[in-house]
Amino acid sequence: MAAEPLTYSRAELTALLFKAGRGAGLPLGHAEDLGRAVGRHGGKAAFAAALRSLSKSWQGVELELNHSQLRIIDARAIQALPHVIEALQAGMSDVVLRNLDEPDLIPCYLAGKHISAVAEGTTWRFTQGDAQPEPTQEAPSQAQMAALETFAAKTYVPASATSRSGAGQGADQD
Amino acid sequence: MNVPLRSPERVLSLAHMGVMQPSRLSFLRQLMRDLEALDAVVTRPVWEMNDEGHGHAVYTVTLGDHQYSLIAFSQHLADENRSDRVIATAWDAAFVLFDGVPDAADIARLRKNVPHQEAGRLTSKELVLSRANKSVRLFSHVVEALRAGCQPDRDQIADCGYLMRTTAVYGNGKFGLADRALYDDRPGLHGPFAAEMLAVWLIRGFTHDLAEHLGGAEIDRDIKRFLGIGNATGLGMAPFLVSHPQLLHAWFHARESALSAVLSRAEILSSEASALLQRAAEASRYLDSWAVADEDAMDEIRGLRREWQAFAATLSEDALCATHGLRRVFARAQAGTPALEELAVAWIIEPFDQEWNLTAEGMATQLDLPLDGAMSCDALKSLIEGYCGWALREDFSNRNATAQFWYVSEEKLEPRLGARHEEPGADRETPLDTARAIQRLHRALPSSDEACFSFLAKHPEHRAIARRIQHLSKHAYSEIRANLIGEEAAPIHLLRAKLSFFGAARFDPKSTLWTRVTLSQGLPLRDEIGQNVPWLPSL
Repeated sequence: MAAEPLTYSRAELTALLFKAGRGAGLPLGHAEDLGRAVGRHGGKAAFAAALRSLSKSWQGVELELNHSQLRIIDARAIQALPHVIEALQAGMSDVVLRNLDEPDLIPCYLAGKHISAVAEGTTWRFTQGDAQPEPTQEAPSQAQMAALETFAAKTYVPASATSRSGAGQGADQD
Repeated sequence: MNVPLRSPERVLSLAHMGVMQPSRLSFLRQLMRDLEALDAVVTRPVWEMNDEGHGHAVYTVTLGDHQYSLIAFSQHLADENRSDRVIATAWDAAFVLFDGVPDAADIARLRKNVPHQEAGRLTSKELVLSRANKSVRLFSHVVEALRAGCQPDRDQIADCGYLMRTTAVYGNGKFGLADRALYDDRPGLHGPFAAEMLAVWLIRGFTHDLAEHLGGAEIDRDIKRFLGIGNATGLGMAPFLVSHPQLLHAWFHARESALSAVLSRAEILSSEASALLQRAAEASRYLDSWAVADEDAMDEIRGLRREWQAFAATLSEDALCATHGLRRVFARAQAGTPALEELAVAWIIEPFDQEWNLTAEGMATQLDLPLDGAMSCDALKSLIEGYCGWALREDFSNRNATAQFWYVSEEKLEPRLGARHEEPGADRETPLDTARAIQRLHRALPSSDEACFSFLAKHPEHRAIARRIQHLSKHAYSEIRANLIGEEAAPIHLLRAKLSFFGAARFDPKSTLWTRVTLSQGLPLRDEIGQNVPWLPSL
């Protein structure tokens, strides 16, 4: 329909990431976090990372609490990064994510937070630090949007005839 | 002595939300004050309409250092294609609020997209997208009357109240529109839904111009002022109040704070009492002229007329000016039905500029809800028990308590309501089951002084509701006190609450799922900015 190149608003991206997260089976709170993090701050790399994450099945988090350190083994970014923020807020001195699968998501989740992130191979250590800069925002590709739509569509339900009754049929003219 | 705010359990019950009325804090009223404060000027630089009223028009409004233009596209629409339903694909007119003044290339681009609404694409140069259908009966009558050299029949005008009705008003980034964050710090657009309200008010002016263009004469000003813009609203609006708890709190807290501040006045001035008496009479006239087709809804209106008449009969300047007179008057309203009480709330804050002005700021908040991971499980459990009794009292072992589920329809990506125990799809339900989620978290939380982040990491299914409960403990009006998946939960109550905050009046429910309303009725015309703004207009 439109002749111009497509652009997407951040509100659109946030809503779509949230719906895609739900469609992929993320718990509601994590879908909300994904929408806010990647929808508001993501670029193409973050969108690609989010899509790879959504393709994996949801798994439990293996936490190791040791005095003031939290470690998450085989950390999946969309599950673990929200916990990084909350654990440091709860007084943990550092959080270690081992085998973090999608480090491209870190700048989105930590945007504006006073947390520093240091990598040693695939292990990432998070401590209190300076405010993280705003990541460079880029529009996702149309292919990425289509892939997200596919996830989001898993939450859609065919409308029933019952739901349509009383929803405005037959009362359009006045 | 300060009068405490009304309890959220009362205010955010469906019984009260479902009978709310527009007030001075409504967003259209805020817009009118902003337009006046900014000395806004509206012009119509483009009017390219043929003899059938098809073509396009541009209205430009200057707000501070910014200009915005409503671009209206009018087209032929066969009667059989005219539908208020969201599944419609064509409309009599389509509109876009443009950031600036459009050039020919902008108009050409928008002409390809705006009439197609959801099927088109917009850009960050556009703020609001909308469409409207004619009220066929009244539009034709007005045009025919003008062509015959007469004014339209006032009874017919009073009966319908609008020439066209919008069936959707989109903003904040939908379909590629500008994100609200791009303009919400600009003069006149900082209020909640301010851009949408500006578009609606300008669209109303377009409907007048179109009728006058086709009729070849002007409509009398008092009639024209009474002609608002209709709106048909269905389920699509309902989930917003659940998915935006920050805004829900901000809106209700502002209103309740204004009410508390007014009631805390030990005495009021004679001029203020006089204004209240005038507004009471205004409400009586409005109620007498408010008529709808639905018999149940009409019975409720008749009941409210009787109650208000009896209530207003007790009012006098002496009673209002007596020490704590306002409190006694309001207590009488609270002894009546929720409909009387809510009408009295809107009425009593009307004349008190200072009180409500202080509370209106902040109604557009969009703060995130951060999760406090340091809070202990015990503390979280205490919050549930202290703030969520309404949810804990719900008996979810009863099938009726889960009789409905909300979902997004595959065909139009719009919210729908299904019967959980009869229809498939509940496995994909939209999470509006706040009360049930609270109960589930309450059952699952261990008695422990450990920080809740650890529990929530192991039980991520409770993460979202834990965040909401923490927010609720600091923002008391952020949750509707009702089980929205229960058999008795009717979306119409949510629509009424939200639309009343917009400034809608003459609620005309067509079922428990959708309603027609009128917006901008009685508001100044575009060359009357700064003139008197009625609370509840009647012709």
